[in-house]
Amino acid sequence: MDATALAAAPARPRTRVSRRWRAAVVGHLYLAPAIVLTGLFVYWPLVASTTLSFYDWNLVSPTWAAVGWQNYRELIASRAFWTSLVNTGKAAAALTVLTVAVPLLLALAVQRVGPRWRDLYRVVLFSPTVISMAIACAVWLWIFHPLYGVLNTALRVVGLPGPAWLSSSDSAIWAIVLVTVWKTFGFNFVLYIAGLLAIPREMYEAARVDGASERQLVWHVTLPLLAPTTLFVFLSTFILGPQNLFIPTQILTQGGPNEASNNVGYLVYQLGFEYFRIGYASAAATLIFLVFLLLTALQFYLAERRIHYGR
Amino acid sequence: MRLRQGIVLLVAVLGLARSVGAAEPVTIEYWHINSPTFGGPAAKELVQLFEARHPDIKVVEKFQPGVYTGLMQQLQVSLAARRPPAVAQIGYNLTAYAAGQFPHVLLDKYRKSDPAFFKGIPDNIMALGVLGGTLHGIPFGVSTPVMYYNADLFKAAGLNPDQPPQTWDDLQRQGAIIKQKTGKLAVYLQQPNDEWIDQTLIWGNGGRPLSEDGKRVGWDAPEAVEAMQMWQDMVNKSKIAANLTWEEGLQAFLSGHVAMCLTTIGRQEHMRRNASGFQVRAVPVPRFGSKPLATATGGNVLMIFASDPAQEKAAWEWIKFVLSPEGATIWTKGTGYLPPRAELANDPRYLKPFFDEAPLMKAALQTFPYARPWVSFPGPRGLEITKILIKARDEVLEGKRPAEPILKEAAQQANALLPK
Amino acid sequence: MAASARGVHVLLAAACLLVVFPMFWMFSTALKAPPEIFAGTFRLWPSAPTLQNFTTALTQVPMLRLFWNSLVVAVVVTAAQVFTSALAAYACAILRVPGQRVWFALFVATMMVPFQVTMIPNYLLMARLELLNTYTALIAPQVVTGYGIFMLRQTFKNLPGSLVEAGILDGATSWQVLWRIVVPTTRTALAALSVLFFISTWNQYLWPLLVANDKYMRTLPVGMQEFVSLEGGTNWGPLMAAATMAIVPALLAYVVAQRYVLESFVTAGLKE
Repeated sequence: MDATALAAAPARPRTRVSRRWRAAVVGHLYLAPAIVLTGLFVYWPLVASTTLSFYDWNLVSPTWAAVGWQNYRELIASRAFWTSLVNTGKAAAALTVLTVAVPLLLALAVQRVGPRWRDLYRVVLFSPTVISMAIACAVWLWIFHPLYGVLNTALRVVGLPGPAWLSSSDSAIWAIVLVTVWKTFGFNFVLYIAGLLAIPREMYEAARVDGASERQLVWHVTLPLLAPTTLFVFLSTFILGPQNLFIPTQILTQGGPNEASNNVGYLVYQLGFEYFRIGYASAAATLIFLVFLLLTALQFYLAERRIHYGR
Repeated sequence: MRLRQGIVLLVAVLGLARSVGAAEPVTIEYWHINSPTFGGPAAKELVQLFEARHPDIKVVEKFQPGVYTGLMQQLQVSLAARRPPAVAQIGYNLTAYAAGQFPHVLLDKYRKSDPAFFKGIPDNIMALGVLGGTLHGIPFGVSTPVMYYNADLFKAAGLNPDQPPQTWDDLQRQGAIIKQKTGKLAVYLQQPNDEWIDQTLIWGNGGRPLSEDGKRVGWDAPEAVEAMQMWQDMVNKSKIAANLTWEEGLQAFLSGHVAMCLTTIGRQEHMRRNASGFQVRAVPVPRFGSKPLATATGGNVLMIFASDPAQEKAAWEWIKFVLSPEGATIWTKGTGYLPPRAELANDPRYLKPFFDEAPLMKAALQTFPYARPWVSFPGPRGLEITKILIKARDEVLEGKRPAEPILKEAAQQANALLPK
Repeated sequence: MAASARGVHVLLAAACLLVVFPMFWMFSTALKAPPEIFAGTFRLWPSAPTLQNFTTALTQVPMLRLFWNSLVVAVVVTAAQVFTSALAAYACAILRVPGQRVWFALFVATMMVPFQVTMIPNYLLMARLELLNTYTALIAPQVVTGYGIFMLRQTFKNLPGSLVEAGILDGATSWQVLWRIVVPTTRTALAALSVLFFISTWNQYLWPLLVANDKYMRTLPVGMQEFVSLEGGTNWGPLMAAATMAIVPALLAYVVAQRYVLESFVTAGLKE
């Protein structure tokens, strides 16, 4: 029997109808806290801000001026919006690849060492995750220093000219991605470790009996069985990754030089809290929300079709 | 006679009644940017002294992170929630926006009721709080940009540290020598998320950040273009200037990788304490040839946002106190900002001893008479105009295009946003 | 085999070095006196380590109070998020509730709402309810998370149907099934989520900055900003000292939790 076939009320039902009713009521009781709270703290604000996107308002003035689609038109015509959108796409792609590949590789490696070392590596590799992003950025500021930072000093040793990480429009966004990866890969790493531990030993043994090499084991046993973990890591990184860019952007570059490292989350903040154009910022937020919603829906659709997770 | 006595008595009784009614102290909030290392202790000391003198007023001082823009954000949301502080520091670059958009108390009435207070504050300083002929805020902190330099690097390059550059030509000549002899960069001009130094360069070369009628920005004028082109050339052509983000630039100077640094006098204490193994000195920023010195003025005005009369009154008492010779002395010692009452600097009872012992402050005092406003662009889109100039500067310093087309485009965008 | 094991160690050690270096830099800066912080040459360890910065950090801002605030907020938010997520995920994954797919989609969609959008209306709500500078304001808007619901639904969906079935045959109510079967068997995932929630709340910046501007109601990341000043100069030593102290609780939480979290994965019989 499928688990989802379980009705909410196992107590003896009198009729089909009342049983369904009970299930619906009880089920909604479980859902109630989440419904009420998301309604109050997410959807209501979202409605408020979508409404605001058709007005010109600075938070303080007692009157709102209705401007129709003006905010949206201005946004679509602005360079900052498109640059931020493209940057966010680039950063999200890089973050997704790096924070899936790096943790996976490290988790596979950690699995191959003795238990005492394993514990040590696990703690050490996770440690950046516990530091606050703001502090991480303050520390990385020293590392990125083009004149005497560790990063460029090391690059010079191997004969590479290091870029002016934060003040060159070619590298600023990648500097931000680098900090974000450093700070956030640890959680995915732990997820992969857990995923690996959950793979039964017998699976490997059976494959070995069939004469599989170590590499074949990884490709044909480990990776397929990790697919649900990977899906999860992938989705959550893609969705939450761009939000992690906010603090590094604010501390390291403020979106500069000349918008080169801006991203959509920071843009909304800038429009709202640097220019105090709440309506305009709301329009940006609404558009971005729609773009993300579309992309995520697409991802879910593809994922549901491709990967059969569970048993 | 009788009648008059009666009235006096009545007034006295009423006054008494009022003070009895006011036995409950008025509490006002005061928002500032003074972190523990930058005037925080001074803010606390001022509150203690003030409360001792005015038992009927309580002042709650609140530090706001993120300097003036950070404070402004907090202020904006607090106004939206209708619980603003009674008094707040507003950076000069934000005064036009605050005065134009925020409900606040106009201060001209106090010129009549408190003429004594206004004596001793020079006109060019008081003007920093005036917009469109109306007094919106009282200038409190006054800072000028100065040029700090690393005397040891000058010596290492065979230059005389007692004769630092006085003009930009000088600076480029000496800078080339420093670069050649020591391999270090010559100069860093501060590049935070504001355009203070940019405006200083424009003023210095005889330009104006904003036309006198406030209808056009002056960034595309030949003086401005020339100044910004010079900056670009120092970074990209002669490569004697550093193009770094703000904290990086400061780290580079304090660690001895850059010989000169143009930034605020507010940093003098920090520079003195943190310079790593070299002697820091300071002089006024370089001039453009024979043109007179002119710098944008940093710092803040105090504006009153209290709407309740009792709070407003208390707020005004607080402002009077912090700007009194006694208050200003504490404030200047704590921050390195210049006192709006310039004469205090020579008064042995107040700030003379402090200035005598802080040699870096002299550079600021010498600059003081040449202080021009840090133009805060008018209209509801003023803050975006500021950002346009910052972005243009970024692009100029990357050196992919000459300064002129960049500034022309930026000026066009900005002009469209200025109120007509 | 031995050679490849050595290769693995080299790879991991290199990764550890890269990962640890910034933290090490933070710690070593915390031990440096001002001129040495800006030393022009690279100096891994201070020549004269000092605890001065720690004293400064502890005396200039009310560190203990900030710690306490962060702790209260992080613990309550974590517990509340796990609780509301578990209930909703249970209803979406295991129970049969009409409209559960729609509700689930609506919960997941909240992940796509940028925080900057909800920030202002939520702030105004808190202000109108006279809740600024209270724990309620710091906590309330975040007691539900689409991420948690999403994650737990996946976990619950992967539970073997037979487990739940057994519960029903015993005549347990849905509430009992949740607490006696579902929660215990997925405690690893719940613990992992808790660690994540705890850490992200512990490090939050923007929301606490808005709703708590009273010196004694600030959380650690906001309070530490007192050492950062673009006007007067950032006080790097005390900033790094405060940061070093601030990571201790979160790191401890993880060290304690990680053995439990990972080991219970193996013992929970959660084999797919």
